Amino acid sequence: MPPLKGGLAGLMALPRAAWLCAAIGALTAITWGLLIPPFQVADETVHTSYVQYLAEHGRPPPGDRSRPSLSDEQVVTMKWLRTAEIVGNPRNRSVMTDLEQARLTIATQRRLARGNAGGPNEATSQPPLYYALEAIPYRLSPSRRLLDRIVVMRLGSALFAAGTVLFVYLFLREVFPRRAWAWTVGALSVAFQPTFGYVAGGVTPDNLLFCVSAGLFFAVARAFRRGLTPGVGAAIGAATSIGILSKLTFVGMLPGVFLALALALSASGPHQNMARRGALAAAVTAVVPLTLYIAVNGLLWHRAVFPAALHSGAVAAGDGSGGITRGSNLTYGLSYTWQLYLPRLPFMVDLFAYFPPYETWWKGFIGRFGWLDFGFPLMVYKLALGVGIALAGLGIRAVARYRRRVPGRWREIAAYGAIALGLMVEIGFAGLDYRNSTGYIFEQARYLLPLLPLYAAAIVLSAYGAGDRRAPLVGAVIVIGAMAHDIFSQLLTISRYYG
Amino acid sequence: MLIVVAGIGVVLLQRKPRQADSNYVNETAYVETLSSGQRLCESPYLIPGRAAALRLGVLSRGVGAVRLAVSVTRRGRVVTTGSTLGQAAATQIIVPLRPVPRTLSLPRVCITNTGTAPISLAGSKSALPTSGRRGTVDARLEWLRPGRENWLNISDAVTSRVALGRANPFGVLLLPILGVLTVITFGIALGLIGRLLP
Repeated sequence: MPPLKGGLAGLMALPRAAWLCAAIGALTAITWGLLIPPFQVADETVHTSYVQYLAEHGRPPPGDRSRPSLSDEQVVTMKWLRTAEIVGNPRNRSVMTDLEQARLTIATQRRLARGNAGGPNEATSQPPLYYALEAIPYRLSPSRRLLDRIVVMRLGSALFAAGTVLFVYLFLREVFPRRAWAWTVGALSVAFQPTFGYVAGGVTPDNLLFCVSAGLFFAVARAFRRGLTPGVGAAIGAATSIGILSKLTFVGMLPGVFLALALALSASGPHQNMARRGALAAAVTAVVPLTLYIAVNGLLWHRAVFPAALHSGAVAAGDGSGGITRGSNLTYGLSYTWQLYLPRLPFMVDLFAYFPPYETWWKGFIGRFGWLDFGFPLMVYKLALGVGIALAGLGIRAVARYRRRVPGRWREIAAYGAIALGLMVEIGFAGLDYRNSTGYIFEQARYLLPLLPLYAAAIVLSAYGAGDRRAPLVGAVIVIGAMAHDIFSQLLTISRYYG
Repeated sequence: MLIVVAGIGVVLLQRKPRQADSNYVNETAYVETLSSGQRLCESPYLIPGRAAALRLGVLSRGVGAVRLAVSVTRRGRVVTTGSTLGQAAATQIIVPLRPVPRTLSLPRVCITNTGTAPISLAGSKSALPTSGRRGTVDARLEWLRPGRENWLNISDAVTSRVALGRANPFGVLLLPILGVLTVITFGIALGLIGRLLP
């Protein structure tokens, strides 16, 4: 196992492959960001509005109903980009002619109000950390035009993509310490995952959420492999507070974080005192920033500490009410959540007119892009399912081969499982709440992307399933498959908006 | 890698009618029914250069072939005309036109039902501020380029379209730059995974 180094020295000591994987993550996100038309990443409209308001006023939008949701500048820009007509309508392309471009240029060169938004929208109630970070490129942009600033903000998002891939690499290094090939294979599988790449190309707090979630998994893995030191504890706490301050979805992962800390404490053996200090460091680094945020949010900004619903989600274009039955109580919520991820059990009421594990998660993960308004031909999802089943079979074979090692790491596995389960349950209950109140579908594959480190670990296990000798080769083939997936997704995007 | 390259080649060589532009009206309903001989005129923002056909969403309200005639005028002059010879009933119909050499703003597009059965046109009832008309219904007008083309045939158009609608200091070089960026990214990745192999 590589020696433990902290801080800058630790970063400098990272293998070159780690930095190259991170660079690939950034380059892929930059490519996506330059390819996708402005506002064509789901919810990018409201997230851009949030950044603009925060950058112009130095505080998050108040959600004041007397104010518009978007600034005059954004409204005019979107009008001449035809954003409203393009979203949800794959036959409407982006700007196609020089004449339309000229109209857009003339319209956006006028002096238009930038700070007059602040009205409620899907993003208003979210915490401000991602938006505050994106306000930096917004302000640093050499041009004041919103279209220019969006490009710079998207480049900012690419840094989070790089961070995500780097943390996935580091996570795998902790989980599979003896197999250097596994770190690269898993990290590159994430870097070339097109749903991740598409989101990484846009202005959305999901990018910080993915990054900090990957950081959390890395810190938790480190706690189990090297002990819950004060440094590791502080990292877990910092990831927790940054996660909650980036997007409230992170709250779903909290029970898993508590369990991880408790299990790491119980596994500390003779190092109990150090582990207690680590847990204390986690508590302090998590609670202090959150307390400050709650105080500033309530006292200075006069905003609700938590919104009425945690999801604050988007109505994705192309999704309708989906023909589901409405209702609400714990049993109903559990049934809904179960059916969201698993086949319905005989005693459960059928709550979906479709099969969410396939329609929502599988298709979404393979690729449903934009505002969920375009994707691959149906045959591609079926073909990909065959590949997925084969990889899952290899993964199960790997677990069976190494089953003797599983009991020794049950705490660590339970911690990862609890973090994942918490997020999945939160999405289920938030989705049910959202459907009951709006009638629209809430769930999107990107909501599970905070679990990218586990996806990478599953990919590595699949390679392991081919046997020790062939594993690196199978890993290389998987990465090439991911690269092909990425390039076909980009071609699909070109045909959607420019074909 | 060879399989991937071959797959990309297959995708790029697929031929089909390609869009030149549209009036961005969505087909949410059948918004206008034309009896035999009746005409609907619209003033979209533009007719794109290289437009050589007009795709319309239609619903035939009777038996018999769908026959439509389209004429596009601008400032009283005829820009292009075309008609269907009588297509079997379908939800979409393509009316071939004499190709339009360059993009023209504010044309007047008239669609005439030259058949016997009433025909409903698909479009949107909500007025779009850029469609040139307010408070009225709009049929969707989807302009197509000539013939059936593969991606290589329309590479020039795609390259110029990618450059539009965004902040872009690179102009039409943006798509080639993205291609180079992708090659660099893939090159680094292949170098990394090459080291994994025994």
